[in-house]
Amino acid sequence: MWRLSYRVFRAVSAVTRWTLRRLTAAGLLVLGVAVAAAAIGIDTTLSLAYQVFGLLAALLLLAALGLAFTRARVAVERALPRLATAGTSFTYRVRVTNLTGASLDGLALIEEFADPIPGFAAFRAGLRFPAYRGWKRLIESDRTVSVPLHAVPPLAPHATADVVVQAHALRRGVAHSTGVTVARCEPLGLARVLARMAQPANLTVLPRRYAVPALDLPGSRRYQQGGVTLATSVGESEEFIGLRDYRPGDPLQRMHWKSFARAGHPVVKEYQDEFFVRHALVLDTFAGPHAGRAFEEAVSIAASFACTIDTHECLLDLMFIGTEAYCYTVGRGQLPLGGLLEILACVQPCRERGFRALHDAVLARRSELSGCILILLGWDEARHALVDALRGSGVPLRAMLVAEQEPPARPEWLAVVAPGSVEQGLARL
Amino acid sequence: MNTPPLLLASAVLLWGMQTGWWVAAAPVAVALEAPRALAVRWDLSREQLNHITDFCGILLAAAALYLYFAFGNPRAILLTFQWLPVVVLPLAIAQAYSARERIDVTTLVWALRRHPPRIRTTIDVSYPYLAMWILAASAVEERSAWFYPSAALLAAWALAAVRLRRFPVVSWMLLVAAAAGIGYGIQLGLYRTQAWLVDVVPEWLVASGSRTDPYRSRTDLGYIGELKQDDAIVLRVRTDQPLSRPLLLHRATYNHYFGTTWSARNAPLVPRPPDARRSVWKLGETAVPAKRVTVFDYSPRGDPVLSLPGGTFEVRGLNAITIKRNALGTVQAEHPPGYLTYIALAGAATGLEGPPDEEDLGVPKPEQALFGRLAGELGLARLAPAEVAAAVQRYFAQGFYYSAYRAPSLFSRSPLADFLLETKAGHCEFFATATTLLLRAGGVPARYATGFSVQEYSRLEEAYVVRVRHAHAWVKAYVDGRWREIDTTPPVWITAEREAAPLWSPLADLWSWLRFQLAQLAAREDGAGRSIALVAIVVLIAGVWLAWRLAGARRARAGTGDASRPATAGYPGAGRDSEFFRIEQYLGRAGFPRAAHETVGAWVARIGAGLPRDTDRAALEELARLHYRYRFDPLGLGPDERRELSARAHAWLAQRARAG
Repeated sequence: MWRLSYRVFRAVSAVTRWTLRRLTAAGLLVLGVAVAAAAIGIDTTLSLAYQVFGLLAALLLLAALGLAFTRARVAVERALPRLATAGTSFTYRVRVTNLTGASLDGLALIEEFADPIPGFAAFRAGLRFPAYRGWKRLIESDRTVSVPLHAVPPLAPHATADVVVQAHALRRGVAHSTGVTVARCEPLGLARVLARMAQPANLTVLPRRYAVPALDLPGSRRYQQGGVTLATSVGESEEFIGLRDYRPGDPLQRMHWKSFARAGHPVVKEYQDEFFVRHALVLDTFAGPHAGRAFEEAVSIAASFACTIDTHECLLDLMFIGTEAYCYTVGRGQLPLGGLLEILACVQPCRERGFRALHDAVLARRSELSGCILILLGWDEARHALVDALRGSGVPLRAMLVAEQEPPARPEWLAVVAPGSVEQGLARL
Repeated sequence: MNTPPLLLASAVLLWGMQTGWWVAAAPVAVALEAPRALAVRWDLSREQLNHITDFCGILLAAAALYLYFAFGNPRAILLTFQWLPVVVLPLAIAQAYSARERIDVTTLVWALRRHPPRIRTTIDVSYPYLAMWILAASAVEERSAWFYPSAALLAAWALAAVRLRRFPVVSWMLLVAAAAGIGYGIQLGLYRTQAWLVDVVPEWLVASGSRTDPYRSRTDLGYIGELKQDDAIVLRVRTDQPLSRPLLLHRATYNHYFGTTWSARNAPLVPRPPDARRSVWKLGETAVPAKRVTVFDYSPRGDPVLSLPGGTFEVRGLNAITIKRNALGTVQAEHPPGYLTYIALAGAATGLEGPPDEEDLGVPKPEQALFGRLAGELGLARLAPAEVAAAVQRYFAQGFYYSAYRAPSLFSRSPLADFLLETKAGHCEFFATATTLLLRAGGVPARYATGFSVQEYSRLEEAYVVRVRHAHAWVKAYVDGRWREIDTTPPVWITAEREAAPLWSPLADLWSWLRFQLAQLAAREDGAGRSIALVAIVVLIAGVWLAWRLAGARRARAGTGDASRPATAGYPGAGRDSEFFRIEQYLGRAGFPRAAHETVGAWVARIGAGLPRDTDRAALEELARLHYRYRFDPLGLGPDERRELSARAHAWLAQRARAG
């Protein structure tokens, strides 16, 4: 039944998409009324609705015939931005040039972002029972960008017009557009002929960001084994203190070749050890099958913290588990903030591995950390163990749980942020 | 409205022309076009528009239910569409007179109000509303030569608004004219196709069993396979005495058989004169009534053929425009669709059916040899008519049995020959047709009669109920100078049909009874019943809606995390029983009254410094904070916090009492 429903819904979606692209608002109304008239007038002895059906069917028939004689010979240049932010609108410019010697009207632009049709596994996991409403909800929840159809002003022969397209970034992620389609109405104004212009481009939608209150992140500066190779000269600058014999593990860049040649054994340069503040932003990616909303909010909160913490004077490690354990460092010449947000735009829930992977990855770095912000999606023994281990090792910790409901035995220091009211939740921190 | 000027009004007037409701159409047309001339606009909030939409929804549901109960389908569906634009008029007026030119889609779709789309979507209801009027104008039964051109003109008018400007006007007009021409052909083709289908498709496929054609009856003699019959109740019958054996309610009689179809030849329906009150209709010479049968009938399409017991000479209580009767005894009323009730008085009356003629002795050529041989074998030619009838009845009583299933025959012969020579099994149409033709072959005039067999008493209805599967066929034979009813179908057919009833039959019966009761209420002559039925439906729907809203509110409150919080939390007057008021009274008496303009927080802050040193000020501030939440927090206090407020207030007062 699930498999059949999936196929039916998929087919209905495809037909709907096909119809919505090819019919104008007037055409859709004519089609809708024709269907209603056919239903009412099924018995021609009872009403005259069949006459309305006959009229509208003829209009649609002529509109379909009209499409055969309608062409959209235009050139299109589109400047799609590379980045946008979820929950905001953005605009971009499309230049349309009339390639014919006749004036053109009834043109419209369709940006070709693919419909995010869920796979069968996602369909099965995302719905409790197969209903078309749920299917639509799944598609809409996965849609990254929405670009409504934009009308193009009438074009004189060989004229060019700039169309400002307003689009909405709905959720984080990478949206791939295969190009722009130019639609042109047939003479009756009911149907459109489509001409696709291939102009592939990607748009990365960064996570939504919230206002985060000024956080007091306690913690002292810690010795950083990598030293200044991880930092710029801002703050603790590089300072040469002398030479010493090579020890296994010393990087080759520190080899003092002249002394090596003179002494006959490897000698390396030694620098002053580096101490600076380093915070970890730990994102729990182990979302349950129905915690999609909470996961999205957790990513947004992580992005909000990443944007708020001043990384000119400290380092910020973003840690999460995907197909492997990832750690990206921002600040002091490392990854720029924009890069971190792009990474967050692509973070996906981790289904293959257990929470233990995050536990191990975070604890492996605890000696370097001045403080830790932990964004959790649940409150169970595994998460409890990570928090206990961090607290036990003396790392200052701010932990927050993004969940619809408070856990039964919530520790006082664990802040709970409800999806949908994140700003209020963050304001309480 | 964003339609071209006067377009919407024209559509409304077309509706008025089609339905005859000019009284409603004229003011509506004016009301919808007036905003173009008036500067007055309403500033309607989304909530107000939601309420208007809800009102229209309730009105639509009430109207649809009422029409269903009063007229039944398919007329109720047509009437609902016919009045749909009037029902949603409040919403259209709201847009026409609103400062907003478009309506939020969440207003129209209830499901979207709880889960609104991420991008706000609005729609202009002007053109859909225009389409609704045109569609409503088409939902009438009366043929009108003006309707199609008018609808085409309105469609062209509306399409002119979306016409491409680069396209020459003349070409566009030719295109629209071509569409109108093709559309005319399509609709004509549809009409004729249905007429053709009605001719060629078996009756049980194109019409319900409750519908009878007085001129023709296509039998299912040629049908191969299991004959399925509907379980729906079509008639309710009350008799003055309980029935000791099934009562045959006659509907139509036919005298000519060809192919597998019976028809009424040379038997035109002739109007019968009514009495002065137009409620008593005489069908023949008055006789002493032996039977008085009340029939509650339902005609979905109007002009029903009446179901009457044999010998009915008078019909009473039927408010028909006229009643027609033919020489074969078929009685048809000119009556609008819906429920109808009539009382049949039956007795040994004469003159109800015409005398036999040549048609009543005719056997179709393809069957002549078979029935001639059979009549010869039975020796019918030597017998008197009464003996022939008895012999034929005996013949079918031996070796024949009832079956609704017919297997494909190996021989290329007629279904009747197959029935008589091979299977000897069939349903009532086989028995009745074969009996009629055999009697005719034996020289006895006979006719094929159809109707219903009344046999099932319903305690719920306190009446006999007649279902579609009770439809029956039998024979009228002219014996000893009068028409006698002869039924050769084995009585076991009743049991066989009953066993075929579906499991959900009792539920369907209950629903049918409810519909019938409401229809009876609505049909009361004093006119009050109609109002009562309408009010009952509105109250029922409003009650369901209210219960749903209340349940929704309860769910929403439960969704805040604590269902035990007081329902009044956050509303004016909430938290009046807060124990903090006692502290306020105590401090007032102690010389620290709260001024009328002062908030509790400001008051506690003001008097804090002046309180005695041993006063627990921190506790007082904490109590004030809890008190505030109890009174003004929309979520209120949880049960634990409420207890805490009470306990701490009492403790504070006790501490002050100890301190002196």
